[in-house]
Amino acid sequence: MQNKMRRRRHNLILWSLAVVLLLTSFFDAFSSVGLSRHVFADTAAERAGAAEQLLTKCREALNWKMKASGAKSEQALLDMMAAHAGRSPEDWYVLAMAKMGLKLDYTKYANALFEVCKDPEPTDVEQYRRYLVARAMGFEDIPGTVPEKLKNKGIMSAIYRGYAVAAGRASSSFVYGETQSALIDLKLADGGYALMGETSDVDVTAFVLQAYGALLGAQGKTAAGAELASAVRDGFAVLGKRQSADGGYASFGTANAESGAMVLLALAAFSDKDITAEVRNSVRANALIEATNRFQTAGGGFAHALSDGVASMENDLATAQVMCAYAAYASYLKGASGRLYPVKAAAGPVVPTTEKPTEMPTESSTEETTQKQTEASAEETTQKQTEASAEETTKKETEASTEETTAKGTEASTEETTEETAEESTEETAEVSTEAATEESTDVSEETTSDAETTENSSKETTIEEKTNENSTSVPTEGSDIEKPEEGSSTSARTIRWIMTAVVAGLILLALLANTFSRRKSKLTYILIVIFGVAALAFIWFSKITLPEQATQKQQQNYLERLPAQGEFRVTISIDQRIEGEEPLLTPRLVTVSGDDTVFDVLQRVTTAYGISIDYSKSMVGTVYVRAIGGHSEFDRGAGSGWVFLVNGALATTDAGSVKLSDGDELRWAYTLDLGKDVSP
Amino acid sequence: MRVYLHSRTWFIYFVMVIVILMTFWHPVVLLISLESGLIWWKILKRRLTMGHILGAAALLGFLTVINPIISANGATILFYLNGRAYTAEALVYGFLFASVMVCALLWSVILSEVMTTDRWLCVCGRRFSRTGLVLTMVFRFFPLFSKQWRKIREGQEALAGGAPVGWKETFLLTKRELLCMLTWSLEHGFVTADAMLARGYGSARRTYFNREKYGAGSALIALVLIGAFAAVITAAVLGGMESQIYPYVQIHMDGTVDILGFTAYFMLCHLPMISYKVLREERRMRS
Repeated sequence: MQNKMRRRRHNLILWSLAVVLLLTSFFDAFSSVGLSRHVFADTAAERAGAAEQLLTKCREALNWKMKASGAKSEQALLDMMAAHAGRSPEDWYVLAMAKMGLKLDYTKYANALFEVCKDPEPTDVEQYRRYLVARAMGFEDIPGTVPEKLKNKGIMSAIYRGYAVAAGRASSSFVYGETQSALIDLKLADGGYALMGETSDVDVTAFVLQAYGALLGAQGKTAAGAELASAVRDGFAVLGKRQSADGGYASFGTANAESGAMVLLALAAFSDKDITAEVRNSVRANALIEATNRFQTAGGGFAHALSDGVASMENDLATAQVMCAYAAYASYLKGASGRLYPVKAAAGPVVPTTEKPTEMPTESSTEETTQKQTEASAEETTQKQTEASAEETTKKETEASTEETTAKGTEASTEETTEETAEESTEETAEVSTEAATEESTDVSEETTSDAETTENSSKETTIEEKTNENSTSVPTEGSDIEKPEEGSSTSARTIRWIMTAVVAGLILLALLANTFSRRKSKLTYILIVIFGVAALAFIWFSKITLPEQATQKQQQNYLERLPAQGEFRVTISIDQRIEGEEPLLTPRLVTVSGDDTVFDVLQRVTTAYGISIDYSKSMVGTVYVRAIGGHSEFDRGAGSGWVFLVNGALATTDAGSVKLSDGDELRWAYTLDLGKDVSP
Repeated sequence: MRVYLHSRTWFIYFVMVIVILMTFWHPVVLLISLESGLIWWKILKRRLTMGHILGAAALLGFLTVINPIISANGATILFYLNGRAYTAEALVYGFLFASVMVCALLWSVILSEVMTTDRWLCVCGRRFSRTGLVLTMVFRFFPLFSKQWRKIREGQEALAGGAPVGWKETFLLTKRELLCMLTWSLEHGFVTADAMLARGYGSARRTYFNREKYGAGSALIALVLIGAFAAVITAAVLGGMESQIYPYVQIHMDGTVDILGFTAYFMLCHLPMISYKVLREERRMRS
């Protein structure tokens, strides 16, 4: 009896030793490699560097505009543009200059804008845009504002209403919830938006997303609701799908700068708290910037489209919009608000229209203007609306929007009555809205306080209020609630873990049963099976499982294509399996690497980001041999076949783990059939 | 109907089947091999236990799951395990590899059952008689050795009054058994050598006696088998029966050439089964 006990103890010691050995061998083999080294996060320094680059591009474009219009200084250019205040490219230029943070005197332009605003029959879009430009320049409102007639229920007017409401336009007869749902109602089946038809349009979708960003900024994340969040996600998914391989965007078949600029503005309109990284990374922002940069001409301006792959003809609208986009995105990168238009936080909880009287026009809204407004004929406004939207959306099919707006416009007249009844409670609501000044509006208005005061003196209508500095009580603007953790990837990994566990458990059971049924069953076999099973399960639960998810891949691609920061540079990488009639695994691509990256690091990162599998072995001293890329393995096509890499066309003589790259290098992985002799040029 | 097949026909048959099985990693080929192998087991009256089936299943599952961990080849990434791609192609490859293993094990049992010592001697013939002798001696060695070892162990246990307890006792007993085994082998070797000498081994030219006659039936069946083998090879040369796993799984099985090849292989595997009565008789006589 005692002997048996001793025997058991011996077995126990032996088997526990075996388990330890097994486990350590597993971890030795698999822990040396892994993705853990590749942390895909950009630092504040990297972001600041990128923002600086974008602002440089803005300044170049502005210099071009100054040269083209013969202005000596930025101020001169601004004053010169006052002649066309309220028109499309000029307003965009002013928005860009304001967003760039140029300290200029906007008085002349503002006055000209206010003069234009006396237009008795403006369209909603025009009204809103002028209001927004005034706000961007640092003014609270436009004197003598005409309350919107809401004649047009087209998508463009809905979008601009969104901006205006978010900016805190006092005269808006719509509150957040209604403006938001009006936009969400226009969502197409695929998640995008269009002027008409069922195919979503990049520009319009980007416009709507900007409006969502503004509304989200004004209301905060909780008030905006899940509906908006899903609309934003869908919108970005559409934009991600439409992004071409080089990162740019095309509208009606032509790659153009404006569409890309709009998408960049849409990205900038959301702070990092507003949307998850997954949503943001649906669009490869860095590749988009890279693609948009291609539209810059030698002079510094931006062209609408490329002719023979070269940007030659500068376009005012393209230049202005790209400037806006770059300035806004730079602002986002720096951690400030990337929204083009100022946003005013909603005071208190947002209540639907029916319960709370709508926000009212400012003091100056007189009987006269309301009278004028009611007299305005529907047909004319529709015509104007069409022009405006056509300009905005870079020459869309004008007929399309006409049809849309005329159809919707006729229904809009009913909205007027609600406005008139709500006029009594002007004072209270106006004060509430001004008190809740956001960071954005303070930023701009601090710089332009003096300008605004002068304007106040010059213009008789005393409407411009400068309460922002005094009343900038901290109101949470951006969704300050805790961000929902990204559950998606981890749950799937867990699913895989459980599937593998189930498979292994099944196999263990099978093996145990097999042993039971076999003629010569032995205790040793049972123990071995159990030990191996436990080791396998431990291996499964201790190893890192990541899924080749679209979102993570996009994120990694985005990171690869980032703008180089200090100590980083760009190299071109391509992977070619060299099979006739087959697309190369990876066409030449610009990726940003740091100085410490070896050729193998770059390969590993790129293949992970683009979903290409690699098989390699790493020796103890760090040399790396790449056996297979994308399933094309060594010796697949003859004894001398396998993968080699060339740096700047020269065949490497050492392993991939020891070669480092330098700025502008061209790295090419190629499948050789004859020990590299056939791939060298 | 008793159909007698010559040993050389049998030899050709097994060589051809195993060559095709090992070189064509094709699911249909594997299925045919498995099916015919199981029929052979039935013919040879071997028992197919639950242990066999479960063991084979465990082996299949284990090799399938483990292969992607070892080889990260293949284009379809399922997920990353510790940063290494776990690909669908590697899973398929692992499964095919395991299937080939299982089939090969199955067929090796059949081979050892059918190809008895006298058959090997006959295959080697007058020309390679010495090789034949060595071959049969090698084949005979392991069963003989383990049989003798069991005898010695039984004797030792009877002397000691029970099975050894503890690793020390086991070690000592095994050492003694090994010594007994060695001396027995030496003695047995001397006896055999003496017996061979007494019968005149090496004193004159070697005689060769073979009971079997190469009849027309055997020759005909051998020809048909070779024809089937040639058909399979031709099908493969023409691009049929192709199964490519890396970088993408591409398995051809519905082309005319493919079906021709499979039919030929099916015939190749099943044709010698017509002599099952003879094999059963032999088996009965042996035991």
